[in-house]
Amino acid sequence: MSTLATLPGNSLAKAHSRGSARLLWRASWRHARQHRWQSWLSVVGIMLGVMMVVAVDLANSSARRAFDLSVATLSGTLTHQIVALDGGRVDDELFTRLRSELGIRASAPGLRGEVRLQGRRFTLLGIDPLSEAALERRRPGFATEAGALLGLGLRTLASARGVLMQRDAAAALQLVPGAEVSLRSENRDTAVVLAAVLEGADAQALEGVIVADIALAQEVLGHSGLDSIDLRLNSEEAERLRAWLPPAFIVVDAGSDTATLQQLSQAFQINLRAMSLLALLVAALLIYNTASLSVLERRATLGVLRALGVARGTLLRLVLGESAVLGLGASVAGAALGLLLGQVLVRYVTRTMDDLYFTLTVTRFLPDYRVLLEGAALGLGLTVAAALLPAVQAANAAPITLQRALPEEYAWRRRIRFLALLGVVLLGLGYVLLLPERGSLVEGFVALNCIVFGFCLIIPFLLSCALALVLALTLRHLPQTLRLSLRNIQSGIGRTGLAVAALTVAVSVTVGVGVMIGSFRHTINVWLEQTLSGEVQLARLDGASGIPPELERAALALPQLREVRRQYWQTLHTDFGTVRALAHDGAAADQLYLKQAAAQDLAAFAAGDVLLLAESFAWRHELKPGDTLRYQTREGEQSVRVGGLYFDYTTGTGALELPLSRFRQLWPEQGPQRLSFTLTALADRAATLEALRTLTQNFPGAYGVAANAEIKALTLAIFDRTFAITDVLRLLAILVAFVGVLSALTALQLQRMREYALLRASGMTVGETARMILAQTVAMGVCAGLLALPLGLWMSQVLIDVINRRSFGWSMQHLVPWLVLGQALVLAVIAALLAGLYPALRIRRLSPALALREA
Amino acid sequence: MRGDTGEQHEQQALVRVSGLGHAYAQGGQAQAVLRDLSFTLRRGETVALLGRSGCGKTTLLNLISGIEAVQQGEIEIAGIRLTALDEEARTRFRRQHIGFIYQFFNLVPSLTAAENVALILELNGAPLQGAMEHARELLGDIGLGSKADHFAAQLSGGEQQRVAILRAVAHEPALVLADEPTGNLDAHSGQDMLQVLRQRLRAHGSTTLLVTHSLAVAQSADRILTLDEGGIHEHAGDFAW
Amino acid sequence: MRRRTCLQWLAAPCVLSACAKAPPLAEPRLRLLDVLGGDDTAGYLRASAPRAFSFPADHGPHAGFRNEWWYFTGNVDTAEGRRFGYQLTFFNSALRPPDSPGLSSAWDSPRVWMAHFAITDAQGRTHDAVERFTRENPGLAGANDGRVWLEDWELRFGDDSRLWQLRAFDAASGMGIDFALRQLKPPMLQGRDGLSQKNLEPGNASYYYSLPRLSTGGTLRIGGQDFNVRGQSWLDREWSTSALAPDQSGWNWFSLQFDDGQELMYYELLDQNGNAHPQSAGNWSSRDAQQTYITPAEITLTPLATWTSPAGTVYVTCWELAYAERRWRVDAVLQDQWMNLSLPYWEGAVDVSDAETNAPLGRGYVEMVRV
Repeated sequence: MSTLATLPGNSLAKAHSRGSARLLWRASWRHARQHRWQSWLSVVGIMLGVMMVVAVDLANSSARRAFDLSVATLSGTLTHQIVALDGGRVDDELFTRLRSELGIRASAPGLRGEVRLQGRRFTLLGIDPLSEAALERRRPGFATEAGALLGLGLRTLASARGVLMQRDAAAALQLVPGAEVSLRSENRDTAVVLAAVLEGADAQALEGVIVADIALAQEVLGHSGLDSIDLRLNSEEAERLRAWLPPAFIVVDAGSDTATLQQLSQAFQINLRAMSLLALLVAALLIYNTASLSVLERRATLGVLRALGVARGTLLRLVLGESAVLGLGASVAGAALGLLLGQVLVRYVTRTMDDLYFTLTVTRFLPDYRVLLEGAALGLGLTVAAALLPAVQAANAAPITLQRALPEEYAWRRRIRFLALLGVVLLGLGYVLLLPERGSLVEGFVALNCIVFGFCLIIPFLLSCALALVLALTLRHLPQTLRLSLRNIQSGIGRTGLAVAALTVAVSVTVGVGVMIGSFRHTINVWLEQTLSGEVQLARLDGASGIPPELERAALALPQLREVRRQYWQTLHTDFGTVRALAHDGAAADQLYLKQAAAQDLAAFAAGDVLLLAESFAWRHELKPGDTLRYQTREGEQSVRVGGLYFDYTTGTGALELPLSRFRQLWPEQGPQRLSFTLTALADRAATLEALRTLTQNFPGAYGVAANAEIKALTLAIFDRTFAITDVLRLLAILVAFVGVLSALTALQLQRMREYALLRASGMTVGETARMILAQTVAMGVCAGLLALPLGLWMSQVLIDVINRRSFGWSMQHLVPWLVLGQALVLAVIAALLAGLYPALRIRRLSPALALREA
Repeated sequence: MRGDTGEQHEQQALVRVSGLGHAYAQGGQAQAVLRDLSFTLRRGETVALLGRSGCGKTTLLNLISGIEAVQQGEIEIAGIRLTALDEEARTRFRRQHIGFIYQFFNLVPSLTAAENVALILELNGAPLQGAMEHARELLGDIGLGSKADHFAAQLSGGEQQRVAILRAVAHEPALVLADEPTGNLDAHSGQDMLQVLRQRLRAHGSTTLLVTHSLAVAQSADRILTLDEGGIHEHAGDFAW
Repeated sequence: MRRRTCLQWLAAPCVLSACAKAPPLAEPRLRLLDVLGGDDTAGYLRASAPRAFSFPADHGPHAGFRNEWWYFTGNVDTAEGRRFGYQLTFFNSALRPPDSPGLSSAWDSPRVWMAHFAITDAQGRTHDAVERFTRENPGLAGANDGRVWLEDWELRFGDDSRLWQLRAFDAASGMGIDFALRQLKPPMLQGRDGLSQKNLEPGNASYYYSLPRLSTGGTLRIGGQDFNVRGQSWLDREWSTSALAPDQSGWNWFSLQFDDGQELMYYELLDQNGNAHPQSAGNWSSRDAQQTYITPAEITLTPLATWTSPAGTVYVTCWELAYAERRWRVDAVLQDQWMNLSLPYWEGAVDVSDAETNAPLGRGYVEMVRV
């Protein structure tokens, strides 16, 4: 009996099944298992992508928290600081006068310095526990158990030689309370006693800190005076204080310098993040590839299901679900791996920040676990998004009775033209975004991504045109098998174009970043050449009034030393914040790496009328030659015209060059901080350095003696260390791309297995077939490599002229390291070759008959 | 045939096609495949449809099963006008009321024989376990019980087609459409297959439209229709089976 | 005697959270005694035998002892009769023995200082109290032969030891004093000839004298408003090394200045049960400064009314005091003269009247500490 006869007429409207069936999932699962390699490659790709994003984010967030904690621990909650106008120390008695004459009680002395304990570096923080109480300063590590800390503070005060350390840090050095240790600062040892250890929730903020009473801190550091007097004031009190303050001192807003530093280090972190996101983008291409391939392979099955009455929505959900399962597993695994990698990366990031920006007192891994969730969600989301198009394709699969011979390849021909058009639009958008000279860093990265993605979209079209051209030109010259290889690339353009695009992006990243780093390194080198005059440098390290003239005379009396140039610097408080003001004797052009300065401006500089700005400082505050800069002096505010710009790659809050006459006027007692000597022709450099070192021991103060070569080597070593993390990331990005290429190429080749079997059946040898496959992948590798060069160079230009400029205000010379370009090409070919290896090997095991029957 | 009211039903039309026309776009021009086609299928009868390649037989099946939308004319099945249904509704209609048998079997390769049969039951709302049990039972009935857990690639062509028949009729559809079901089988397997088909159809009382090249197959039907040049003709129903 | 609490005050927890505005009401979590290693008196001088007092030298600091303080209280009025009470105290406490090795830094501070400052406004019915802590060096606080100071709060006394100057202004609370004081009676040596024995163990004692009557005049600021005032003050001076007796639970201290020119000082130590401890003691000074030692058996204190602090501690705000066949009523000018500081206590201006006739007889200050 017919079912229909028993059904009410409107039963169709409320069909009783949800339309999804467990058997469909079972079929999907079996399909995925049969194509295990493909599924695994996707999983690995996403996993690596997510791992990178999570690791970089974790490292960044950890480093940022370390930075914040360090700043907070060393400075705490303040509103203002009194510092010496000349960048020197604040007299101890100024604090007493502040308290007893002005009655400003929310004040505490600030002092810190670097010490070594058992060879390890620590920041010695000098505090007055009772003033801290009056200041109500909050800082991590001190926040909890205030009473206990006061007790400890008083105990250190009581014992006169007591210090406090964080519990783990003490344990790492196997120190227990009561232990006697010696702290080393500038070649002096001071015996102290570990009075107690600090523990509690925030104590880890004090990991790299030794806390001592201010008196003991001065004793250990070997000087009197303070770095600052730290204050919590309202604006009225600040005004009252400014009116009262002796001219040698100045009230500054707390935190303005650290804000600048934070901005700089943030820019560094955004750079890293962008790289990790590129890797994930490549992973998304991979997912798209896998999903669309698996849809293509199941075209017939999907058609049967459609004919059986499986709704489109069900198939859409099925394919999305498959990707989601892969994506979920891979994302979770990637997040877990990212947690591990993050702990490695954080060392690089913190070390970089330490080298470039700020002495961190916290170096431990402080993971922000939200990052794990975000990374996994990003991976999953991207996977599902990448599978959306294939899923729509699946849903639109024609019922089996309507299917004709593969229309895919033909559809792609039309599609690549559309994609190319879209690509051109994206490229145009990227170009336009980069046009304004200024703009945000984020805009810069958006533009960079537009360019990379736009280029990606054009690649299939370019590839197709190039192949058509090559095929047309080589009609009679190329062996037939090779032409077949090329034609295969051409006919499978949907897939080959994607593979080439993925490989191109990955390789172009290495080119772009490689060229950028190469250019940067080159620029630093040139800058060092330009600015390090003489051959041997003598510098005063303890920041006091400079190198005494007697020492200079004694040095020049050495037979090996010929000529001397002097460099001076002091802290200058400008209306754009605190900067380092430098001055040299001799012409500006000899001492500085000038960027922009007209002849008459240089003459004006020589006459003492204008000053020169470091490029990065000028960039940050949008200053240009002709503008006026105001700064504080003992005599009141002065304003000077900006005469020009010079290159400067020192990090920190900013620098400018004053004419020496003006510098002397401002700081008449200030001696040179650095002397650069030229050696006589016959002088032995090592012996000279030794002689200079011996000489300095007869003078008070701490000095450093070094040859230019050493300084240069050290600078470049720090530079290389900074970019070590980028190398790690580049490597990972290539790995992801490689997996992507491997997957795309292998899929392509396996899809053609039947064709190969046919060729085998019609008499082609195994070797010939394998060679044909390899020729095809190598051709794709060469294409990708060649395409990656212009994209990479463009990327490097954006990185250098836009990203770096917007991040740090540095401009650099472009240097094209041919080696990097050559490496990129080789890399692309090797990746492609490796990807072709599996199908080539498989063809060996493929019986022609079997292949035909499988169809 | 279960029944008491069989005779009555035989008089009723299950499928009513009137004025059906269909064209495909080819090179920018409409190419007419079916023109002004009208015929009726009665409940429970088996009708064979003969015709040369390309005469529009497959298109007719696609239209009746709701795979393709009707462009011109009217198809009414059990009083439901297919032309009034959207794609989604047609899909559900197909799932519940149509069984389809193909020349190339078209089993889902990643499912076993039993799972292929159970799939249509599960799609119609049966719980998986019950569907599997029923599928095994059906396979046992036609002597394929031992192959229930084999994948399509592990079955012979005849076996695959018998599984496909079970899949087409397992959910007791009102109408079974068969597109050259013996076309890909040798004579012996074709006979086996027809045997099974006949059995199953009898069990469920389904109406069947059988597209075939083979006169021998056509002769086993209650009626024979011939499709050519867009028109349909009926032969005398003098063949019984 | 009473001022031994300074040890605990210094160590109170909210020193770090600077609780001038909102001190904690909870039990102190930390005691300086613990910090300093308890009763370690090694290296310090002890008050073990009577000494000859010499003025003005003894108004200045006594290096070698662990603790020392200068404690002013007084009652003053404006010409229009608006009445105020005030308290200004400088405490200091050594962190390490005087001959222990120090550091060369200017900040090296063997001693820390604390000051309490409070004003009672009888008409406005307000009582405000603030405190300050600081290390001694570099010159933040200290004492010498003519001056005791903590930042900008200071006490000056010249070569003429009969003239004193007291100055303290607190910007945040808008209160301050700038007083000139003149000593009207000779020093009153407390205990036995100025040696105030805490218990039977030798050395557990302090040197203790008072200036029981100082005429006072100058400017008093409250709520940012200045008043010209005149009145009488009392100075307590004490220095010692030894630590608290463990069986104490608090004390009540009275300094009463009678209009007829006589004074009474009495401290009642409380044992763990709140009863008078046998070490309680006092002194009576006649018009011609003849002193009479008072033992606990000779005096009777009867509470008549109480006030409960926000922290839940009960303080007596009205007493009946019987001594030598006289009976007085001692009434707090204001119920709430609670010192809401790191370690809270009650200290405030009082009126003295005849218990039978209610005739006003004098003024004074009372301190109540519950540990």
